[in-house]
Amino acid sequence: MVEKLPTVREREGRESQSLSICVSEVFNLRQLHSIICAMSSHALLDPRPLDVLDGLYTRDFTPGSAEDLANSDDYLYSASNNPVASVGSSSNHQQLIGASAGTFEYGHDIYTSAPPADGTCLIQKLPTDIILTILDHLDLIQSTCLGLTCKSFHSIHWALHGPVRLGTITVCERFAFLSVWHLYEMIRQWMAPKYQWDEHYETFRLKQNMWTAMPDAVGYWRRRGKKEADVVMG
Amino acid sequence: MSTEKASTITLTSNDGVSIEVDRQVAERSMLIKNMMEDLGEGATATAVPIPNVNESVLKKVIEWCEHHKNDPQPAQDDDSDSRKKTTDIEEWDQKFMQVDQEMLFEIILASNYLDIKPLLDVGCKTVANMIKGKSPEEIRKTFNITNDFTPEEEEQIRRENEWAEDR
Repeated sequence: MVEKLPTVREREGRESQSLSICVSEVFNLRQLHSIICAMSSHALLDPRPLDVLDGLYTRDFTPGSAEDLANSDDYLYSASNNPVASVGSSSNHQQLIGASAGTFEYGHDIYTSAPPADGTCLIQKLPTDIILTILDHLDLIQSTCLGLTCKSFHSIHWALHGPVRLGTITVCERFAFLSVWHLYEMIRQWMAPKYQWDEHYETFRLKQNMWTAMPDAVGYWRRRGKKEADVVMG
Repeated sequence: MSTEKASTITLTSNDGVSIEVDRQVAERSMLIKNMMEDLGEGATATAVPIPNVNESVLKKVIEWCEHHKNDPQPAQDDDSDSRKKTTDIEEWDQKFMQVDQEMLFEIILASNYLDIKPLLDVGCKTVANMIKGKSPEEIRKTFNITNDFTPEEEEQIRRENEWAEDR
């Protein structure tokens, strides 16, 4: 049996467990960013956002059956990796059994159905004009991610947008808060294992060159100090 | 009234099942609407074959058309920006689209064939929502997409986009 996921409140309530440990267990950087945005803008004045966060990762997840157990890894995976949270309302939870994940965005329940069990890829069978209509509803980052899945989508994406800068961001509204998605975060896994994100130079770099690319240790700390000073000075 | 249009039309799916629907409902499909206008009132007496759509999908499409029968018809060339770049779907349509992927893509193909733009739009938005916020690996997993890039091609993409420094 899988234990019910503790809520954010329960996590916060545990003794000798700092917020940083709690956060690193569950959230990645992107989610942390949106949570910080949420807390800084509303949480201190209004208890609602914390409730939202509680529900975001734990709502309606009461595994009990073998199916639930089998899907629990998927649930945890999508809950901890998707910038949009997983699993919708109780009304569609039953339908989500066996599905890969449910996503939650713009304040609506978005149902993500499971792919065919026989491994067929149906989206690649759609005619190009329908793919173009779908791409109409995707921004640059999402289109890039779709383009990186296979050659056919890449050729369509490339014809539409051409090269995309690594610094591309998308600002989207989520739970009435603004969240920022960065392209480098979305493609981090795609770039791995050969490349690693170098946050100081804000580029991907060959893993073996991560440290040799930084010969000037003093310069590094100076830059970092300046960065922090800029933040402090506002 | 004598000028009133015939109230029902029979549609026949590609598996030979006939379904009777209100003309107003069937005319959400621009294909059927234009056909009725071209052929005149006499055409309503015979069943309209829908060769690309099977019974279950046709019933689902009709269900959508019935719910939206009183919606205003979209303009012929409604490609305005307001329609694009938004993935907000009204609640009934969200529930309607909570189907497996086979049905979802069949509905999209049927709405494209029958020329029901609002339904096509809802279907495409649903797929767009399934893509949103996912990494390439997660998108592949969601849709069973096979990665057919060679390592060299992936490297070329990184180079063309200038995503990495080789030093």
